[in-house]
Amino acid sequence: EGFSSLNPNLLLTTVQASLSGGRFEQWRTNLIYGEGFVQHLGGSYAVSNYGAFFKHNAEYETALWQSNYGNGIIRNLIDIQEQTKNNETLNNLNAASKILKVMVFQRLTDTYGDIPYSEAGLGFYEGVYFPKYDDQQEIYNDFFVLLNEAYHQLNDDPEADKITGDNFYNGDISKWKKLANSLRLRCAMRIYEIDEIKAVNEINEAITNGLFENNDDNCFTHHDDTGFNITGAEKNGNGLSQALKGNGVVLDHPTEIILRNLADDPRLNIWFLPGSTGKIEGVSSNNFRWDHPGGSENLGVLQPYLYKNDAPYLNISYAETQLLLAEAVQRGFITGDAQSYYQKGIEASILQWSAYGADIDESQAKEFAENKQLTTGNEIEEIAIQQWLTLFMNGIEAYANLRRIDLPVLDAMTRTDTDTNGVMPKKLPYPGEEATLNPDNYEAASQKYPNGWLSNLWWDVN
Amino acid sequence: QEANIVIDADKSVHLIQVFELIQEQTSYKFIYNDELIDNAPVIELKKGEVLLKDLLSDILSPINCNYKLTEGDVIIIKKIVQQLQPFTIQGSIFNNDEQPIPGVNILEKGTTNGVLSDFDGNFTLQVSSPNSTLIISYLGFATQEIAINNRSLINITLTEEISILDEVLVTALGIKRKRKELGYAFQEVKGDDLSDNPTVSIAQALYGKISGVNISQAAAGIGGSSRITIRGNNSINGDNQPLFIVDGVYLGNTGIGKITDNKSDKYTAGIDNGDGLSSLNTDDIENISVLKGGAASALYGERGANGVIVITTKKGEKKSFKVDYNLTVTFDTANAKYEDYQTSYGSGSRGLLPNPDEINTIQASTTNAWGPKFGTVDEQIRIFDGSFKPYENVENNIQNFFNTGVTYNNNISLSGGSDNITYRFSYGNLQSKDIIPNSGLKRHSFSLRATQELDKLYLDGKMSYIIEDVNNRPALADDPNNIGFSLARLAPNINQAWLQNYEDSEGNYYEWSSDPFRLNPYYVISENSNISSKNRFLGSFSLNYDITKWLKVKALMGMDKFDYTVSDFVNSGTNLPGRQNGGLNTEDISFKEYNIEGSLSFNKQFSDYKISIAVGSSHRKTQRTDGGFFATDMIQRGINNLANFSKKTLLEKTNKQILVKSFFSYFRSNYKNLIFLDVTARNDWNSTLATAIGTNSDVANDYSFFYPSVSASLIFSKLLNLPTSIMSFGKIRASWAGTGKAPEEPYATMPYYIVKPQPLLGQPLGSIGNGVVPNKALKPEISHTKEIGIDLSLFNNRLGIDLSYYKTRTKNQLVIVSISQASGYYGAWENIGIVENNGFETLITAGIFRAPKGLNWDISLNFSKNTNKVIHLKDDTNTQVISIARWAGAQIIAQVGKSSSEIFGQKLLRSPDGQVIMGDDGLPKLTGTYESLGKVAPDWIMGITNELSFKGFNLGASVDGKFGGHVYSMTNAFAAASGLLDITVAGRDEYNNWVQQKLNEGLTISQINALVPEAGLIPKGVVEVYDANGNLSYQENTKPVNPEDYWNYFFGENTTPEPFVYDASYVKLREINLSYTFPNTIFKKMKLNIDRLKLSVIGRNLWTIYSNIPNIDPESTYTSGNGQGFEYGSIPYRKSYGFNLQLTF
Repeated sequence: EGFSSLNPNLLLTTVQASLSGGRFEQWRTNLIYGEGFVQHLGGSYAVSNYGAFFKHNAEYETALWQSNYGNGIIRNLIDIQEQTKNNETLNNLNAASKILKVMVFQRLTDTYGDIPYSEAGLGFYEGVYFPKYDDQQEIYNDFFVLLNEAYHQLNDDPEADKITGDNFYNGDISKWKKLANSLRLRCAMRIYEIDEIKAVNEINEAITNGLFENNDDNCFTHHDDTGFNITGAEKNGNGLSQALKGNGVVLDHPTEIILRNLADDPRLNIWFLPGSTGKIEGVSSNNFRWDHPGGSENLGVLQPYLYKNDAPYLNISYAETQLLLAEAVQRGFITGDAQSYYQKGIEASILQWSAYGADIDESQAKEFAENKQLTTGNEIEEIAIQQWLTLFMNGIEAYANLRRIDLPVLDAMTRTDTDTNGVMPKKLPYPGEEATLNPDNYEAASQKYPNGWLSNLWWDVN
Repeated sequence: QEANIVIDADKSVHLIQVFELIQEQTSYKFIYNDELIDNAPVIELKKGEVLLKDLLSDILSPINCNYKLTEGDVIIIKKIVQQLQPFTIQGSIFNNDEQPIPGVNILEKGTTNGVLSDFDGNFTLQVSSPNSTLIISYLGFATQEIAINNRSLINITLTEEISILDEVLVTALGIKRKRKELGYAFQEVKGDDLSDNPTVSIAQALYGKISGVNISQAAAGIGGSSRITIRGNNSINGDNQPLFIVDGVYLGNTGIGKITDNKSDKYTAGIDNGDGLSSLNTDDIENISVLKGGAASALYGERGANGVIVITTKKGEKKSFKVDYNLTVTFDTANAKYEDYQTSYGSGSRGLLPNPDEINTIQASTTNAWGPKFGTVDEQIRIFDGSFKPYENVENNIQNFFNTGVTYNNNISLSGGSDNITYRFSYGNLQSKDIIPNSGLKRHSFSLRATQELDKLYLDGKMSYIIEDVNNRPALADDPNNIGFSLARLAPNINQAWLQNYEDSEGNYYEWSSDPFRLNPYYVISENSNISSKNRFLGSFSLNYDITKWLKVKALMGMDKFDYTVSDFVNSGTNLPGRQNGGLNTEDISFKEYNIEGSLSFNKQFSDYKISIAVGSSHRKTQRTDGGFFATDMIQRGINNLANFSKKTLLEKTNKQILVKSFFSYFRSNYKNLIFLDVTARNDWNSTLATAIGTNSDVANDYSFFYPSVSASLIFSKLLNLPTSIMSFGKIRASWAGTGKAPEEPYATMPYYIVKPQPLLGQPLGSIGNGVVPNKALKPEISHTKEIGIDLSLFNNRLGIDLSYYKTRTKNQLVIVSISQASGYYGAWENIGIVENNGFETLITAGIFRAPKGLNWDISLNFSKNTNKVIHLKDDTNTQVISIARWAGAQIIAQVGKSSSEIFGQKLLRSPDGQVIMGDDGLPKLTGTYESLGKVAPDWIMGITNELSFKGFNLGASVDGKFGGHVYSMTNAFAAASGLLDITVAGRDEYNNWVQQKLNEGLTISQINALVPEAGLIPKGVVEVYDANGNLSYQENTKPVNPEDYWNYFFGENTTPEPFVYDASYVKLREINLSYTFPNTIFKKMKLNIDRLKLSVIGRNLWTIYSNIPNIDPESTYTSGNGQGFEYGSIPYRKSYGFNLQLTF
């Protein structure tokens, strides 16, 4: 039944759930292109053929765009902002909406480049039917502004207004503050190649204001045990889980490269179970599962708790933050002990899977992390490998991070049937319908990407 | 002759019974011709004794006979032969208003002797006998036969006749009018015509009968919905179907479910749950009037823009009692031959059988026929259930899946009346088993109608109640349960019967194909179920009161209410995503619509002018609530009960209400029955156009709208005064009207929020409900129609011609314009665009033979042409997407300069001389842009009905056709990709031999896949060649490709639908029936109390005379919404034959 007004906290929950509750874009953008590109998982027809083998599929490429812009996420996000602006009684909710805005739009801009941002979602409030595409640099600039504003605006005074529909932190304002700063660190590190001064500045601000302090600060979207295609509860279950087991059986497997990087790593058994040989074998990134020597049943498989309907979804973690700090030290942006950040990052990165129900030996994790030493001269690559592992099952962020740092070097694509001569695409294409519906703005944006999906984004200098 | 006949009691008897009485009491025998006594009146015998000769003369004089006694006591009855005796008769002729009528034709019966009345209505005629009979005829008045009976001076009053032209028609608001008065086109179908070849669906019965009407039905079979449009599609996005009125009650004809949705998009799939029309009992119908043009329907204002179909149900007759019984039994079979399916190659890929050890490949091969040629391998082939089966073609494979359906339709009605009361009660029982196993429909229809006439008061009440239960309605389009889709993709060696083995002995489902979204058809019909029931109540009560002779009040209350529940059960155990653990979806829909209407009318004659004026008001309220449950995680496999599911999700409950208030008025004038002028006006206030007060106080939204119409007609034949033998009637007519359409959805003008029924971890999920930007200033869509026409009745009414030309412009189209998704919405409500429909309609009726007792042959031919054109959309946009085909690069689009429904997609790139250009990979190049591949709506629609009768025999046949429309057949596209069609055979042997050769050389399949084929299909076309100077020329393509790659190329989103867009023109023998009506004298002789017995053999859809589309029915569509032009996995349409019995006593 329709309501003519609604508490915006209820919309907040919807936007939070939308980050990972949609099987549609989780399958297409996150699993096929995200995880497929970065060679975390592979073997199924779609993930290998389109993701690993770099092939175009218009529907898969545009899924994130469709689900965010058209399917209501941004519409609801804008509505929270409009309902809460200049409203003292909804001050914290307004601040949270700024942080969520960055979370929603960062994925979009990192995937597509210049995107409708400042005019996005204003179809009703402003009558903007054909939004312009904003320059990615300006979008990032606004991210920093929003995150800074949000941090300062968030008020954890007990008398202050509560965020009641909070799926992330159940209304814990202090955690929202750390989320704002941790995101700010992620955004700053993303742009260091193109604008180092700004990056360093933002990194320092973020650190000063306070980052995640442990895994309890991790930003999860929490789901319930709702399966795919349940009318009326489309965003309740974990969309990635639904995507992984789409046809009943998980048809994606660890890649050879991820297994090589998990030698002695507790995460090997936290993530995977052995195949029929009793060993965890990986799929070649140049193969489908059925091409695997000895048959696909020999391939390692995902631990079932990773794809439960009610598995949480990790948007940004303490481990990621620590590894970003290690990299920042290593690059000389900040002072500190890179090794220490690196080890904390690894340890947290192992322990963070307990949220999925993994049974983790904490002392083993600690021991493993403490034994990890950065190798002089190879620090950046080692940090990058750990970040790549930390972002396992978050293909969209892993893909963005990989383009930024270009490490680790993935297994070469030797097949001849790719659409890119074996080169990983640098962005996903815009939906074709924008060309007909929003032609002027689309054209202006497209011109910046003359090589289509092989064109670099603004922050992706190499 | 002097004998006395004893009559034991007063009684009313037939002549035959008198003869029998005489024969019992005397030795006389009678000889007579049946025809002479056929029409003898009932004879009232008085108790007592009567002389035989008196009795005979009494009973024979009314039939103009006398008798002759011959030897052997035989009485011969014969016609009286008249003697000649010249006689002069004088007379005057008047109308009811005692005005003399000049020019009346007076004819002596049986002769050519006649005269016309003079200016004062007087005449003098010499006749052959004082007992002659005069035939008085004048156009527009009932022809009278008057016996002179020795009078020399007679005054004759002619009464206005009821002929075809004067028949009383039910027009807008149930107002009865004479055909000749109407200034617009009008056509109707009588209930009797419907009963000649009974159907269970009104839409079926109307096929081809009414010019300008386009009917299509989705492939759902009995109980499914239909799409009826009149004079083309006026609206780009909105409902294009007419308004249906049953005895003054607005019938909610909106379909239930997405299949009938006008906004059908690429995710259209599911079950056709029927519409309002599909559940009406055709046996209760007296008459169906089709109000085509704006002027005809203008009194319906905001819902009249698509025309109106007014259905009148039967009433009892005064002073009678009768019982009608009607039985129809039909047998239905699948009407599809799959005639262009190849029969030479079976399961496999690249000419090779699937590897028997690879279950995935075996599963994929069920629907993949790229294997070796039959006869070239001796092996048996392993199929999805692991068993080995012969590798050979299976004849009539798909057809064998379907049963012969049977439909029994029983109807009984009791009707009658006294002097001022009539009543009719009917009960209909319909039982149908569909061609799809386990599918069927049961319907009970009860109807009661009663009228009472008091001094100045006329009351009419009606109730009907329909209970319809349908089991396993077929799923259509992209639904996992779509049987048609799965069957149409079976490789020719995969016997459909093998699919019966859908699970192993432990109940584990065999994945039968490579696509888990397609369920095994036998699983669908055996394990899954879909049960729906609809209870519909239609009631109306009307009252007419004559305050004075010239002032009348009319009031009407009507209600249409239905409750629909459907439960869709998917058993657990398949790999269907999201339903592995089973699912049960229950939906409950409750619909109510009330309307109350009152009017006051004034009628008066002022010398030559007759004037009617009326004012009235109506009020309607429509309410629909939808709700239900969605349950997953079945506890005990196979039990279809909500309690058997551990997880239940409440479906979002929606409750929509629409309120409309209206005032209307009409003015009608008639000058000397020569010129007629009608003016109507209506004003509506519709809630879907209103903006809630307070929300948007800055916008003053005017949601009041005015719809006027003017129509006029001139009966020019009155001025020409031609003899009836040339022209008995001629009328020209012209009209102009405004009609409208409001959004059918609330919230088109304001935003709203919803809360999902299932909270997430205790937190409710709220969101904006609008997917489309609301528009505070939305106006109704307005159609302006101009129409002219001519009605002619020629050659003693043997030839009737009715011609109309119309032009309708619909502006302020209520369109959900596509906007950039980046706005946060898919579309925005706007009033944009102009669509024009213009065309003409012809209805020709011809009585080729007319012999009252002999052969009669009537032909009725109608044809219509409609041109639909989008004149304007918006300044900055030329196209509007209407529907998108899933998994295929095709859309239905309205484009400025073209029609409002064009199939769009990429085209094959062609050289200047029209040859297809191949790319480097040997496959066709595409244009890259979306262009029109053909329009959907037909240009021409025609129908011919033939009635041939001789004595009691009647042969009826009707043929109809549509020409110039197109359809994109995804069934054929998918079948080609699967290698099932004849067209996919070319190049296979060459390619397969090449593969064999390479295998013999020791290469592996993967290695062969990496090679460029050296033999195979060489697609006909050219390649682009650039010379050193960069000049382009075209050379014949010589590059072979794997035919499997070639046909798979046309499968998917980034390709062209072009090879599978077909001209959808067709001609079908729609109906054929042969009946015999037994002469009732037989029953009288047998003393059976039977008035009428008619037996017919009937057939429907028996022969597609002409079609261009292979394998599927040319009418195939998966929606009755606006997304016409796409076909996807159609279930075969049904052809049926059977018999019908009609009995009246």
